[in-house]
Amino acid sequence: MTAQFSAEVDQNEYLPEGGRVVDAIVTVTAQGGDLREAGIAPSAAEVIMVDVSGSMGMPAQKIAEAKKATAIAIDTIRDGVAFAVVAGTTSAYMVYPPDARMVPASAQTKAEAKAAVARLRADGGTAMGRWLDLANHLFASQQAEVKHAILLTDGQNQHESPQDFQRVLSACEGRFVCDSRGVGNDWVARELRLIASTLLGTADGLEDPAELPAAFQAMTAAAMGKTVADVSLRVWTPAGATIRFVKQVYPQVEDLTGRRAEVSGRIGDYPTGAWGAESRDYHVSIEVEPDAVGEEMLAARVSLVSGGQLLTEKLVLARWTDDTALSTKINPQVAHYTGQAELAAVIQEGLKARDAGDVETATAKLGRAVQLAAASGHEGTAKLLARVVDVVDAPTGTVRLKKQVAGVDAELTNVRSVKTVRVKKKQEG
Amino acid sequence: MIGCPDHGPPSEPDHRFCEVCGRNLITGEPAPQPVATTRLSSRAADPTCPSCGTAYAGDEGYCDHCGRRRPVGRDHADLDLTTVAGVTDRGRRHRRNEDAIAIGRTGDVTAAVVCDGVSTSTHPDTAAYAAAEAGLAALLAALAGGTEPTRATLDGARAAAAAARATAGPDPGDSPPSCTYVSGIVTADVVTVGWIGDSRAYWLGPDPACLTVDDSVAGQLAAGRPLPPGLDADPASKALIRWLGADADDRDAQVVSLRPAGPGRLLLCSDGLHDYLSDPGALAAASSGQLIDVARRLTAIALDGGGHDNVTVAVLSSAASGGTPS
Repeated sequence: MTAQFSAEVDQNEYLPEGGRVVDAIVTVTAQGGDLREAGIAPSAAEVIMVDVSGSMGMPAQKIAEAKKATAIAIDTIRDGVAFAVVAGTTSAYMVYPPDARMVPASAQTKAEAKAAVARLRADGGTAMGRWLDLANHLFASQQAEVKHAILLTDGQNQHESPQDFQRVLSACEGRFVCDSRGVGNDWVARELRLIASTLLGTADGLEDPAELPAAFQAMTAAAMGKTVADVSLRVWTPAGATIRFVKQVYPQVEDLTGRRAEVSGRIGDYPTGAWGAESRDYHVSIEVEPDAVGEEMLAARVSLVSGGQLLTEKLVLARWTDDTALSTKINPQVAHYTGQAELAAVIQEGLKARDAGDVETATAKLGRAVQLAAASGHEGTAKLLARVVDVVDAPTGTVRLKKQVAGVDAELTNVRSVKTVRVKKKQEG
Repeated sequence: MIGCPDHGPPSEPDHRFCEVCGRNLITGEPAPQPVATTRLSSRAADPTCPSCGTAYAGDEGYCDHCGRRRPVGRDHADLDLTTVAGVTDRGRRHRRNEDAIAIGRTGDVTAAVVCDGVSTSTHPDTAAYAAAEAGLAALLAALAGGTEPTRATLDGARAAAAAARATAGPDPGDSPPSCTYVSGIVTADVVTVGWIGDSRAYWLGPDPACLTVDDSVAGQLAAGRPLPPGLDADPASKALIRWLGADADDRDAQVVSLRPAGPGRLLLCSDGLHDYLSDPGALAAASSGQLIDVARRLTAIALDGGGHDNVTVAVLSSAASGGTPS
């Protein structure tokens, strides 16, 4: 069975007289069996990029765990899926196969690949754009529906200019999905979030190299579990309406507003990548021309499409009322995700101010972050923030910046700032 | 009779009807011939959006250009089948006409249904149209099949209730589409009405009278009937105690029949009329002439009085020559 998509809309459709802004949270859920078993999974291609810069050998445990993780990822690739392993330094070179192409996974090719990975040595610098460029080149010859890459780094992207890196990212956009992971103390959250945003993947940091094998296994398994490729969130809005923003808000915040591809005057597509059995939430905010009290309009039609096929569709409505009990009701989902998006923003702004030595702004922003994390029950973020600030009083957001902060704690807090939690929905009677 | 003159004896000796032509083998009567059935409804037929003028695409409930909700019914409609006629009008205050009217005839029997969308429910006009059209179709089909009017009235109301219930879709929400319902059937000698809610039926002829008792708090109190538990006995409260929709009870319609003492008219109306004019004698005084003219005249009375609500009027002609109330 192919994935079954369903969607739910949470909104307060009632607007006061003259009200213009319609906010809705659209929860999209894809369900399907284990497609690896079913034998009808879409074709896939997988590229693993492993950082083998000199620092990966300091301590030697990093390169050792990275090799172990890569071997586990190789084992997780479904037979028949085209794959390749790339080693990255200031340039990128093929680990397996030896020449710049991809080969179908089989017992034999997997064994050969693992043997090649075992021979890797750490030596050189870091230029992630080159790695992505080689991955893009490898994927270009593949017809696979789901193209997925894993990128592991332990350092800052020192050996190429930000402009060169951005240029490669733009060239890769829409070509494949990339999950990136940082290990050690020197990776930069901003760089990994940029890769994740542009290439519709996830970004995270691992505190201990020993977590690498499990992380690689999970990322590869998730990629192999993707059942529908190139899914777009399609938004229709009526004539005269403007889209304030379209954001993914769960499992992480990703502003898609600027990623719109026009389908027609009133319809735009926003890329969401490939889907397996999973659930994501989107916040759509529309400004409409007000109508008279008692009137109703369709403010947006939100659907998921893949390859011209409609997967699911929901309507976002606006109804004008003079009943203030209705129009002033704040939808809890909208409020929650507005808070989660603000949380991500204030963490990033606070850390940036802290890096720039602006103690006052950093304290205010990170204090607000602590307050929002506590109010929304976001324990993961609350714990990370506690590594960067001393919390005096969470409910009021009173904090002091810590004098000594391990560099990786700030990066972890930053890279995870976009991760959100869901509110527990009220049980239906 | 032991067999059909055209098709011989039945396959089993105890069969009462000929298997071939349906002739009654006991009485010798031939099977009833299919009768011509005609129906009209005030459902909107305009293919363009009244807000922006764009042609509607498909059958979606909203304009694909401006997003405005597509009206289900016409703002104003005149329906005329000579022996039954009706008018519906948006009125002067409401932005939409959420009343529905359907009229019809099968053979010599006329019928009409008026439904009033409950304005506090979601998309009440979808319930009103589903109920009016399904109710009229079912009761006419029953009448055409030889069912007597009281039974046909109940059949119609049940079909209407099911249709109104279905408009809520899989997720009815807090206030699913809801409406009132009143039907009228006029045969050669009997007038039969059925209702759920506060839309009314009046007999306008010898001894004019309101035939219905509003399913509202005020209506029940005025009729000396007990209120359902939990309701304040406020004689001014027009709050409905019964309606059609996904959140309605599934009790049958109330049914009343009348054998008129002489010719007259059966009037069905939404509260948009009887809030302005409810006295049977006054209504009867305004009910002479062509039926469509009567419907227009009564509608005009409501509009001239302020038109605070949608107003819908159906008028059926009864040529009964006399009898006694049943």
